[in-house]
Amino acid sequence: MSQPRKDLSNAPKIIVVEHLNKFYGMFQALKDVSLSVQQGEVVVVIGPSGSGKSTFIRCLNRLEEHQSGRIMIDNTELTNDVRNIDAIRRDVGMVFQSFNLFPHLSVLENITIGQIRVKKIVKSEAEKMAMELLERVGIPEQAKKFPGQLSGGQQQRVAIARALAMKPKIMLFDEPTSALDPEMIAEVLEVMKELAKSGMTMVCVTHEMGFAREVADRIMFFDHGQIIEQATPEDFYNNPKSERAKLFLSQILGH
Amino acid sequence: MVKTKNDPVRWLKENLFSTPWNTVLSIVVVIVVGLFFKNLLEWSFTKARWAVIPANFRLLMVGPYPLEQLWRIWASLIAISLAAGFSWGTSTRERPLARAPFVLLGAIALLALVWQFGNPSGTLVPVACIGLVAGVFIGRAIKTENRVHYYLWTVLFFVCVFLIGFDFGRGGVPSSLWGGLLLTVLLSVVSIVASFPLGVLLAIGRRSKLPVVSGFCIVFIEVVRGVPLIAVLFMAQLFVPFFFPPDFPQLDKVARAIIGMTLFSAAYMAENVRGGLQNVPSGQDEAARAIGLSATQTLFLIVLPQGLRAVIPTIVGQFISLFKDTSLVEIIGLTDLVGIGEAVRNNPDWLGVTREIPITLGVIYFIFTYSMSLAAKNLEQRLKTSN
Repeated sequence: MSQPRKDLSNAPKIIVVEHLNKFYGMFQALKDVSLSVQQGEVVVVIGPSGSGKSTFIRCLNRLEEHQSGRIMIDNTELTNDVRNIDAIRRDVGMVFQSFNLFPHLSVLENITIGQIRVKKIVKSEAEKMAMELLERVGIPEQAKKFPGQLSGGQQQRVAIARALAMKPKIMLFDEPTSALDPEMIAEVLEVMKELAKSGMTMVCVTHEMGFAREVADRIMFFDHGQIIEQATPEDFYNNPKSERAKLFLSQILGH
Repeated sequence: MVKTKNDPVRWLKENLFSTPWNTVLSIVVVIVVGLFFKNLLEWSFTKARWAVIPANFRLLMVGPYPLEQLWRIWASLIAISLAAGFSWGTSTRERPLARAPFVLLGAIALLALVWQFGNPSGTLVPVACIGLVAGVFIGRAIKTENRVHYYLWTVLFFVCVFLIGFDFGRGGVPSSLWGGLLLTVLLSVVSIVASFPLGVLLAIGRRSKLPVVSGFCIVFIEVVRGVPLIAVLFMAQLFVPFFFPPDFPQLDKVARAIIGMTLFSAAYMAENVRGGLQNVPSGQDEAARAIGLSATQTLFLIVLPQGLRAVIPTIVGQFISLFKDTSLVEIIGLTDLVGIGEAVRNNPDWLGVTREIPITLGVIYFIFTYSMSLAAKNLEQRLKTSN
């Protein structure tokens, strides 16, 4: 299954995280997490539930606030400064497990609202771009419908289009296929693979091994709020180093 | 004999006489209700003096509003008819005949009722009806965006309030001369329109992270909800002047009553809206923030529209009860519809006439409140199909 990897040796570091700590009250959700992601890199984050992987990627666009450590996104540090947060959110798209489409807006309006309200693009242009994105995720015929009339897989593809409409430099995926019926997972993964191959920088929390093997440049294994192991997909799946990773893999592969 | 679903005998058997207990209950209820209606009908066709209603119709509608100033009311009514026709025509552009029977019936009923509205200007009823129809055609003919209608109704609201009282040089109509249905509608429309945004603001304020803001909102909401409306109305009469310097021209009774009812209704509105806002999943907020919408944009474009939709039935229920509660202003000396009804009942010319007035008032109140709940049902249905 080995694939020719992208050459990332000269790519700049677009995400830099240093000694990140995050607490919920007394509970420490993230312990001294450090890593960097290069532009165009696809990182897949895996780990048992409650290991802090979702918390980690939610820190990257400040849906969660960290208590200590540094997060730099494209050379801008995430601090309490609202201008920085807004600037970073414009550059970072996010796709959620439960889609979180706006149910009172049509598919087209879901995709254009950010462009119109945040980027102040005129409506006709925003709609033109939204239609292109719907073509790209394969559902242009659903533009006038409302999210409630779409299947889960279609909703998640709209959510991806909504995030892409802001022309982000980084895309975060927080378990994008976990809430989907099995037959709909493939259609969402296809869109994500296409996105990865187009050179988008992606950080994905997902357990989809096929996806990870095909497009991930790196696997990060999380447990108890720490990065336990980082490796290429081949190395990680065939030859995990840590006991915890071995145990985890045996559990998700064991049946 | 083939028994179909619509067979009345079978229906009776299944629904009213299924068990001995049900049979007894059905018979008792039929006897009691039958007796009531028999007496009611007998009374209304033989003893009742319905002439009291047409004779006092103008009073019931507008109270002591001066006859020579009635054109103000007519102008407002015609403007409202035109605008209502316009909005209706626009909203039914795709299905021109939807609900046409309803409107026809309503127009006929209106015509029959209002025909009596003070003879000199009664001729204006057809003008209002023509306005309604003309509005429908204009609405069909001109393509408009939704916000045109919002602007139109906002402007119309102020124009009408202005028309009803303002001095155009030949003397205005002081609020002490407003009465009857006019006063009831005016009090409730102004209070409803004012308390809605205020209630939404209070609900948002209550969720604020700033302790001063949320504290103020909580105290306001809880204090007002803890006091009966009658007390709020009295207090508004007595304490509103405290908000102004001593030599400032004082607000009249009607304005004070409106302030009292607005504050009262806003506190309840705030709690209803808060319930709606809490229904919106946190993922909505996160998704909105993740695409870069600001906190304010997220609130007004994403959270509020969804939260308000969820509580439309409760909000309309509250508006309906506010409409009925306006009858309490009689206590502070205003003569709304109920107040005028009492005055007519006490009029020596109509001695002994008692039941006719409350029945008529009940019908009038019902027409208004039922239209409100129909409108709400309609709105819900429209939002559901677009969702």
